[in-house]
Amino acid sequence: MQHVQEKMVQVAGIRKTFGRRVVLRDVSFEFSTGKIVGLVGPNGAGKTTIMKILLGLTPTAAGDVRISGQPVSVNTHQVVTCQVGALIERPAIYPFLSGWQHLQLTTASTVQMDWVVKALQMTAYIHRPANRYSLGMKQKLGIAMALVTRPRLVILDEPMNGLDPQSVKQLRDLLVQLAHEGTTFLISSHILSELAKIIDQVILIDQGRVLLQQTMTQLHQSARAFLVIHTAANQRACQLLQSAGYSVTLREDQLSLPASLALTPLLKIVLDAGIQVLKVSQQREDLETVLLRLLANGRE
Amino acid sequence: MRKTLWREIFKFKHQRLAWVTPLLVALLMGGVALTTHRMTLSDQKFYVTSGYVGFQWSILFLIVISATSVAMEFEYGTIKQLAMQVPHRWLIYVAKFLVVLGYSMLLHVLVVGVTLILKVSGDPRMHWQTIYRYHQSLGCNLGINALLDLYGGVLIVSLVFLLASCSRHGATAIAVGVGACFMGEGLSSLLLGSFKAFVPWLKWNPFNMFYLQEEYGNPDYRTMTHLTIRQLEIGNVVWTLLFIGIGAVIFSRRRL
Repeated sequence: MQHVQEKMVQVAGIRKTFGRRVVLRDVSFEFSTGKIVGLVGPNGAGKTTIMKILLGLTPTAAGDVRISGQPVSVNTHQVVTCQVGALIERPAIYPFLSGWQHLQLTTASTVQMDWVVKALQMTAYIHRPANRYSLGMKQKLGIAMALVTRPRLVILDEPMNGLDPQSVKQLRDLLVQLAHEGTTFLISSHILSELAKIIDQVILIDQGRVLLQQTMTQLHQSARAFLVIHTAANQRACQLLQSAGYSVTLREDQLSLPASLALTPLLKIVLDAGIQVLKVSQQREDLETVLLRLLANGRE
Repeated sequence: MRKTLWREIFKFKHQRLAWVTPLLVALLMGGVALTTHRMTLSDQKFYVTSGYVGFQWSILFLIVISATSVAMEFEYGTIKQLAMQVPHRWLIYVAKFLVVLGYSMLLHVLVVGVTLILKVSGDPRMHWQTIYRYHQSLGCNLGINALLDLYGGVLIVSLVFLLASCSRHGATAIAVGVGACFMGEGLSSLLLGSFKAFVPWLKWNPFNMFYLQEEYGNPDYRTMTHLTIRQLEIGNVVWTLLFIGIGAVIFSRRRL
């Protein structure tokens, strides 16, 4: 029972259809309070639909959604109203209001408004009408509106869209700080390298199905390691190793082999042929490569 | 509901149209007042009691404001944020309707106020106590016209809200709303004149309810509407509630 209470989001057996088209099939996942969870998948995988269902914006054909143990549906989403902040698809911005007035629509607390404006470094333009904002400024305002009430759960759909590298770093630091203070985040992003720097867990989704839900530690462990050898004559060295029975590939002017291989006999073959070895190193797949591999495996 | 209503008022008062409309209505009324100077006393009395056409201008602007108020949420994508903040989406719809209704009241008060000022420039023989139609004073006629226009305007606003809920852009709702406002009565007369066998049913069509103000001003209209003033009043309320109900359901079920 204690375990259930610690769960911030519980999604079980969700099915969603648009007409005859099934967009989500038996989607189930859960995550705990204080975690930053990445929702990853190709375009049209169903990420935004899942987020809308979590916010009670879209009905489901079947399944159960709970936030902090409380049910969420289009007609019952009291928990969303009180405890959740979100940025879905594009910032919800009225061109005739200033950034500050948008925040006023969200909260009555000027202390919290001041905090979020400073945290996202929006002081210079917060009182300007929003129709004069750039794409990045609008995106920041959308994020500010999601954070200003200090909700327990924050759902961000592609939050890094339109942000410059400096703003991306500021946002990353802010999200990590808030997660340490107990806020839970569900973030979707196609910039996997940025997402990998902050998330604790990843949910991989494709064609309306959850392919995996793993912690980053588990994901790193499943990343394949490679032995990378750079020689003065890669082409010849590759042929030599292949004829000796090694599974070797020539990739970007270097030789790539499974990391489990013994190094000495391998190098001996190359050196005995008079080929100079320039560099030997071990590399691991990055998050992007792992996820793309898992996606490809999931489709087979 | 109170919070939702506050949000709608907050947004409304920051829209330029909310502040420009009273100015434009007052200016247009002033323009009409200038043209009435050389008219007969009887015509001048008519223009005073009809608020120098201010009521008609108000309805036109209310159609634009109503359509924009609903359609902008879908146009700007702000409906998702709003829907998250309320337990039921129809609350947003009702709050918007109440705001427009309140604004309509303010506009009608403004029209009456501006009429009071503009009348000073009219014929000096014209007094507020002068008996005009139905053995009632000029002032009383103006007041009744304002109330009837306000009452009839609610039906038009509810129809525009319904149309705006069905369309993604306000322009469609504005076009159909203005069309209904100016051609609705004609369409109703055409229907009632063309299908005499169905008059017992067709007389309850919503456009026939637009005749309320005219029938109050001229009871002979009853031969055209086939309804009494009381029946027109009830018909207005029933159609308004029906339009609000259907509009709220469509608004709540629209795909976000």
